[in-house]
Amino acid sequence: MAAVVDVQEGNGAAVTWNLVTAARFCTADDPAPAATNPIPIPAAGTNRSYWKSHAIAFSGAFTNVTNVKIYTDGVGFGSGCIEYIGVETLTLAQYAQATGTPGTTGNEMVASHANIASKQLLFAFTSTSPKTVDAGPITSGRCKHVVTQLDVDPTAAAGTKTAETITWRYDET
Amino acid sequence: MECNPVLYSWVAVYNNGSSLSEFDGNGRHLFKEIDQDKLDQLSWASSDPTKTTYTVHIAPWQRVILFRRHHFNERTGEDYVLYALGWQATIDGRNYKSILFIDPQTNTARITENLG
Repeated sequence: MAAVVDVQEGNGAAVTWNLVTAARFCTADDPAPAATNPIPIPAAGTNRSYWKSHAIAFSGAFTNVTNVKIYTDGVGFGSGCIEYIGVETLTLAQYAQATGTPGTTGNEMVASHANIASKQLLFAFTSTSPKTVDAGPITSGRCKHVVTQLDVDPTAAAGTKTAETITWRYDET
Repeated sequence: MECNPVLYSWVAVYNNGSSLSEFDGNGRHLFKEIDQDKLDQLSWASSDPTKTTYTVHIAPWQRVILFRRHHFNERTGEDYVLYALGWQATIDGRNYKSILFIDPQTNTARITENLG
């Protein structure tokens, strides 16, 4: 057996890390919302998803994990949808529950997350220019977590978006 | 999800002729079990005899580099793995490294001094 990896989402005030295989941006602090609490397209201004806190957890047999990075396919969800990732990558102690108005909009991460001071475009990070998440070494448990959020403006098209790909890269010895 | 990319496994050969394989009759050994003070050469080897074995010889002034680089697709669960093998050394206060990245999916290998 080699390293076992699980992508996890932090939820709740006293954080619980939930296994996710298909994260979905929505307007609730919910790791598996299905079609509930979508993000309404605003008539003006911006509506946002609740921010997402994601990390990967390592278990199984390995010496250590280093050089954890994250990247996308660079495509994004299309017009009117802007995906952000917090510049800071956070320790467990820096976790903050996502907040907002359920079913309407999430609070903006830089304004409302105590440990996110600025943000970047998530889909600017690709395989040739990934974002560093955690240099490590990690010998057990979870890497630092990233905070992501989807902004929606009036030019967005209604409906469920085609799934996009996020890839985690790490070095295992 | 378990990532178990064992297309290649490592084999350490010591300067007294003995060796340690990642997988043997005792199960799986970890990289930290390699006695680097006695290491003469280190290889990525496949159980498939048609696959190339990649070996680096380690001199006493070199420190070995060995890892699997995973690209784990969150949506599909696919784990694309590169195998890295090389050495680093501190010479006149500067760190030098040379790393071979092996991509079995494309059957290519490239040497770089950048861990990326």
